[in-house]
Amino acid sequence: MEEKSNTPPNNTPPKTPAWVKAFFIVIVLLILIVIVAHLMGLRFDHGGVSELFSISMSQLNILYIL
Amino acid sequence: MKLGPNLRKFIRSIHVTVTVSWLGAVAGFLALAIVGLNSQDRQLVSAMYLSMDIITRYVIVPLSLVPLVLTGPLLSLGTPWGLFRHYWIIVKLVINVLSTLILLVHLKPIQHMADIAAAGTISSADRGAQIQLVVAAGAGLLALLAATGIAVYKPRGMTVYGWQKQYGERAGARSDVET
Repeated sequence: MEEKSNTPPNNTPPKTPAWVKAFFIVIVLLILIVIVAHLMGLRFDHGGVSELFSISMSQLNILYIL
Repeated sequence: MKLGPNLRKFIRSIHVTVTVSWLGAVAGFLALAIVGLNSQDRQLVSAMYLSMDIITRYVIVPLSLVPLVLTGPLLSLGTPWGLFRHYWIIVKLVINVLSTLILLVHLKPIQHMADIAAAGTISSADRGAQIQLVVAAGAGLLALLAATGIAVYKPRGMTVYGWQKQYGERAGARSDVET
């Protein structure tokens, strides 16, 4: 019976699994859809995203919560 | 930094409790959002949005931050799993970061709905925000279910960094034994 080795057979690094590639493709597509929809005038945030990068963290209520 | 077995179990218990509680709280939020969207009873609708605001501030946001900034990094960096050695941990981290960001972005719409619910002035003009909260909560619930499934199944796949770390450590250990 062939004995299994604990070390990789050679020094080539492992390949990225297909499920990981699929996950990141879905995430990128979702982000693109949101950006395009936002550019087309659809608003998802009601003042949230547009202010997110211009206001202080306290206005996001984080300090209030903590 | 390596955690001892008892401390590791303790932190893991907190991590599992908090993450599953987060999922449950989002499920509760979704139920309130659906009732708020569909009910014709104005008092009931107002109560839903006021409750959603409280649940978000005092339950969902704290529950989302604990695994992200405390128990998750402690468990991954304090154990051989590492933070960037396995793809499933990176994917969970991405899901957690995105879910928390989207949650923080929705604090304002939730607060807005609670304010107009308290004033009793919810109208058909707010329908978009009401639908948005249902969609966001549903998407959040799916993302958290996916993260829970990934944590349980731990799908195979080691990053190049993880492979180098493991291969290097084994090679180092072997050379120590040989010398």
